[in-house]
Amino acid sequence: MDRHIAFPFLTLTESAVVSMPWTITVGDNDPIKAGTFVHHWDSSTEVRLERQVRVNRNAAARELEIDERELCVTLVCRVGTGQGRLPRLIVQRHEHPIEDPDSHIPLDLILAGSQLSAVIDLRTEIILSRRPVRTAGSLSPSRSGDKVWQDRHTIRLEGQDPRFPVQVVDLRKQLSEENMARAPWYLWWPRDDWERDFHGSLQLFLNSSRLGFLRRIKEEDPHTLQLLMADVMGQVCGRLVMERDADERIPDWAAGTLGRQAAEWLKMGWPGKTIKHVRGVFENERGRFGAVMLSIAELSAE
Amino acid sequence: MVTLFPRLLGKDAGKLLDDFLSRPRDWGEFRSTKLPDAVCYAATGGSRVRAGQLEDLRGKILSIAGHCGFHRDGMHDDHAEFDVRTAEFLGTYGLLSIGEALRDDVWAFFGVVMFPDIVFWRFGSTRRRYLGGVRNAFQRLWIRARLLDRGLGAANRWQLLRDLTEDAFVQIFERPSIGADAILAREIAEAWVRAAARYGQKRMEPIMRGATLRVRIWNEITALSSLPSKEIKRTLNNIFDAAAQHQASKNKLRSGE
Repeated sequence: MDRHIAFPFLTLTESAVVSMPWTITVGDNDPIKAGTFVHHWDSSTEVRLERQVRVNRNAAARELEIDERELCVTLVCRVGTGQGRLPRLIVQRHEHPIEDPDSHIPLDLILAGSQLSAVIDLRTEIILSRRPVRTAGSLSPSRSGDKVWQDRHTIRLEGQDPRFPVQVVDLRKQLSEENMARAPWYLWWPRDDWERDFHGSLQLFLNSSRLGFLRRIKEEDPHTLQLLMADVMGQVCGRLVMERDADERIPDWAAGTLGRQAAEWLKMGWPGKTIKHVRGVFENERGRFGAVMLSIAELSAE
Repeated sequence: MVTLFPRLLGKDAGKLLDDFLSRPRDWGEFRSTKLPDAVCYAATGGSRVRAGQLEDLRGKILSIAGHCGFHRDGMHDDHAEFDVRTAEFLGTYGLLSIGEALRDDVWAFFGVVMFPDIVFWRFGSTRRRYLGGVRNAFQRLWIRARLLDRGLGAANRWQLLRDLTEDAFVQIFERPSIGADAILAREIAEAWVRAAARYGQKRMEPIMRGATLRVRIWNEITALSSLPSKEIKRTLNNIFDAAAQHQASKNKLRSGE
């Protein structure tokens, strides 16, 4: 059960619901346990997702304090897709009434590649499909549609959208600015669009003319990566602390957004300090700010 | 076989848009056989859209824009009508798969490379209308049509596209927790129409904001879109009524009554 929300009624625990992990079959490959990323996917590739959910009605009735004879519950699975923290479009919906005392509900979803974009978002819920008329406790769910159990699994389709797109380019040509031609890298990101999904929102361009630097990146040299990450974090965090209303806006930004990620980095660098404090460091002690970024860049890489 | 559309990534889209906006009235023309170097496609997974198909698409949307005042001297610009007709067209345009249409970089290509002249006519220099995202001039119309379609054969199939105000669309489609679910989005739109008949369209902005806030909270604990149709309608009517009552109380307090 997803515990991010404090439900105002009783919900189900593992005693009543046992959910097996999702397995995924990409194209003609063998099924594997679904992780958070799928590599080598494209829109011609069908994806099959399977899992089984087992519900013990007797235990469910006891936990919800509803007479088992009156308990009407349904398992609902919604498949969403599209870039972002939340899916942009629900493309499939499946409902299975839970009627047997010991119900084993198999979910077997076939998703055409043409339906999918960037992410597969799988939400499984058990809902009350009819309100109990007579016997229910004061904390029992009482409206049809009330969610008494839910979980969510998100899979990123990595074939097309890396989390942090990196391109090797000739910066002289790419930027048309002579004074940046010798820079080892250039970071592009959508300024002020803090609610954008962090994944894919930053684009890093590595300079093809800096062969030694490229070699160190390829070899994953820790110092080079630390410098690079510190620059990325420093640019984003520096911009965030200069937002005048950042303190008020940060709580509104959902996990996974660019703004929340920057706020997390700031929290790592200055635990317990306000944005105003960090802004002071950024404005007056830029060297100290840079050193903190270098330090958390190493911590984040660990 | 999926038709792969051209894509324009963020930085390149921004740069090309800067070029366009520096002299929007000097924009030459769309050349489907000579796309900018920055344009890319998915490496695999389908076949690239043909130049002739892009020309055809541009021609059809230009024709819609022409009927709504674009490049027609003396004719009144009817932006709302353009939005409705273009949404209807995109909603039934079979070449664009769901997977491609959910990508910001595809719509950035539409806004920046293929139709910047139309976006400029419709929205002026507002960058977010060209770049990919929920505010993109065409992307927003596609998702509206996709979710508010009453279905092939339904009477007034696209009427919701005509009935709702821009503010109402924004309240639904810029909130993915409700705007991604076709059942919920369509039921909210239908409930908006009923509420507008009860309270008057002019009063709907704050009522809609209050109602969508309530729907989002409620939807966290109750699967609204899994309710039987009658029950969703009743629930949403109650939500709009509660939002209207709340707004009326606020107005009363403000006016010192």
